[in-house]
Amino acid sequence: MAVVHKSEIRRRLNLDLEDVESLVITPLLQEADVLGEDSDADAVDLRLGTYFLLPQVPPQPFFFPSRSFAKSTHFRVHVPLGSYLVVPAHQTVLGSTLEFLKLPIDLSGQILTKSSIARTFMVIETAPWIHPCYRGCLTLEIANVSNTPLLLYPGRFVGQLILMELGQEKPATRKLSGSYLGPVYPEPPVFKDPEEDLAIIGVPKSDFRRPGAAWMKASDGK
Amino acid sequence: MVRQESAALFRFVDSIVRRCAEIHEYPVYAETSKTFLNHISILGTETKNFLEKFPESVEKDKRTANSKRRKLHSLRISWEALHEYLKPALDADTLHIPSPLILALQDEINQVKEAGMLKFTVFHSDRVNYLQLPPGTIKETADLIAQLINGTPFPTDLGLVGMPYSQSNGFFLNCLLVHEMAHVVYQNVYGVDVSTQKDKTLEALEKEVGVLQGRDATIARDTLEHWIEELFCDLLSICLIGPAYSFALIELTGATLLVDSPPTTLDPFHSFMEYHPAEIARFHAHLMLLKKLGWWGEIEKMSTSYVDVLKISEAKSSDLRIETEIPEDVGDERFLKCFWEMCAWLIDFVTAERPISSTLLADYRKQSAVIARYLQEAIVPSSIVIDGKREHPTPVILINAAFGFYLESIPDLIRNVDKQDASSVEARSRFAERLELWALKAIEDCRLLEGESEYGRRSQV
Repeated sequence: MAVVHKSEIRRRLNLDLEDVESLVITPLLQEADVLGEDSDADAVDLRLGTYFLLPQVPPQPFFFPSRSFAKSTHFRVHVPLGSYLVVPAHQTVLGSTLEFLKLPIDLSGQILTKSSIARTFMVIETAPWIHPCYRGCLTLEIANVSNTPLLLYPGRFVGQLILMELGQEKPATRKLSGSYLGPVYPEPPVFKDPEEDLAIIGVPKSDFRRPGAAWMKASDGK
Repeated sequence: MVRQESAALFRFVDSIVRRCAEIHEYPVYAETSKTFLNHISILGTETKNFLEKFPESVEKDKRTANSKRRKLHSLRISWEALHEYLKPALDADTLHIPSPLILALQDEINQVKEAGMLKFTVFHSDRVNYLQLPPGTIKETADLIAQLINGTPFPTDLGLVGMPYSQSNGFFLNCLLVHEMAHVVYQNVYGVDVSTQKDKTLEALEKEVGVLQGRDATIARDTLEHWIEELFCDLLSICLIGPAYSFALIELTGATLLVDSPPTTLDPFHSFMEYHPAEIARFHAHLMLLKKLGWWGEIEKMSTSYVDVLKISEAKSSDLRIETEIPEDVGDERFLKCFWEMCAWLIDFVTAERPISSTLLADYRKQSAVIARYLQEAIVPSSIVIDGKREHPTPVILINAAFGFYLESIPDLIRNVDKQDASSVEARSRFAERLELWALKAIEDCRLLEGESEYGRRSQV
């Protein structure tokens, strides 16, 4: 699996959408710098978007990864360009890239924290892999692992996109996935209820244990 | 007694001022909202200063005490009226308004001669109909307060428009906001010109029916004035953002009911009311303007009932009713003739005042199908590739191309996604919501890209 060179990225950005190799990265601001000869040959720098999901303390003493709980654990904020968001020490926040991506069918990608950001002990991504055909702004799981509060300025570079070619020659076309279709803001996780997932591999619902079953029933509306 | 009355009002105004001043980091407000809230805050502070000195002025001259206390009462009523609109302004933070669309619409309005400085604060409203929102009242109330206390008048270049709170992140229906913005343009810029022409039209009418006197004259003047202001705003909106405005109005009014259905006595679309022309007459005027601008050639073949509404509006305009009072001697037919004369004049007037760009339609023709292809692939169309070259569509092209996709191609998008049912109403609604997000993001991106090139050009200079 070879890392895609910037000249190839430039070529793919100018392909018609009908071409299976076409790549979309938009808006590509400061394009001459980002894709220029003087920038890294193997990566495209990505910027931080302006919307965030801040984690809320859940009503129960743990996060229960179910259909209804996942959506109630964050609240959305908008930080316009020019303003900043403070991430306290050892805290996390969901953000997204300013750029919307569409990967072609023959490329995978990975987003990495920019080294200068990483050296402040800010991690922007814990699920860095991007599948072929992905489309959307990338949701960033931002964590401040330092001992001091750090400021995030939307619009600044935070990550690097590395693209890699798939080994198989001509992968078959496929339908789009509906779970996170073309997100433009950070989105909360999507879960099925765990008993549904486990039932698929034969775990009977009667064997499934819900934590704190009595009050979970009340708060989960079941 | 007067001290107690002043103190009670002081306390009430102070609570409003404090609420306006509590805006810090979150939630975030558009600059125009801050301007509005800041003005209320200034007016509140001036009112408090006025109230501080008020008891003394009353006690100084006992003969005028009663009339001064009445002034205090008027002040209270005005602040109570203003209080009603503060929460709708505070609710409309940037998470709850479609900021990129509002800025794009404002940019278009700013292209109108002498409207270059207008800015707009958006309010939330609990009413569904954009066309019934009373933002003018806020300005009038604020100015009444300023008059009573000799305070700062409301900023003349700040327009106030309302949107239903449920549409906070919506895109398609919110295209109607341009009509509300156009009201401000009418009031600030073109009202006199249009009114003069209206007077000429009425003079011509009086040559036929005799001079209208007293109440008849007032009713004729006011009713026609209301209708042509609405029509002006419709027509200017179409000049600014194209057929997307007509589609949004058709969606809001549910006028697709007109397609394949005979007119009935209960059909509201044929009725001219006191403040609005009949919808069918408005759509007919839209059709005439779209033809004149050249937009019609771009949309007439679209397979959607929204275009059908425009197509049938001409024929259905022969059956119109006036359901408000007009001078008895004039009669519906003659009065409607005045309306249509004004309509023809307005079409010429708005197209002369705000001609569309010479390249707009050619660019739309070239880009709209490509934008639709991007949307069908669930891609934000802010950078599209045509013949091996990347292009960034303008907001007007994005608005119309996205609206066209919404009306014609949502099922194609749904069919492109795994495990989705294109016949499901819920799925259609959910994907329409996604589409609105992509369209808003595209407009936001294009502004950033344009801003960058603007900055680049400025740097070169």
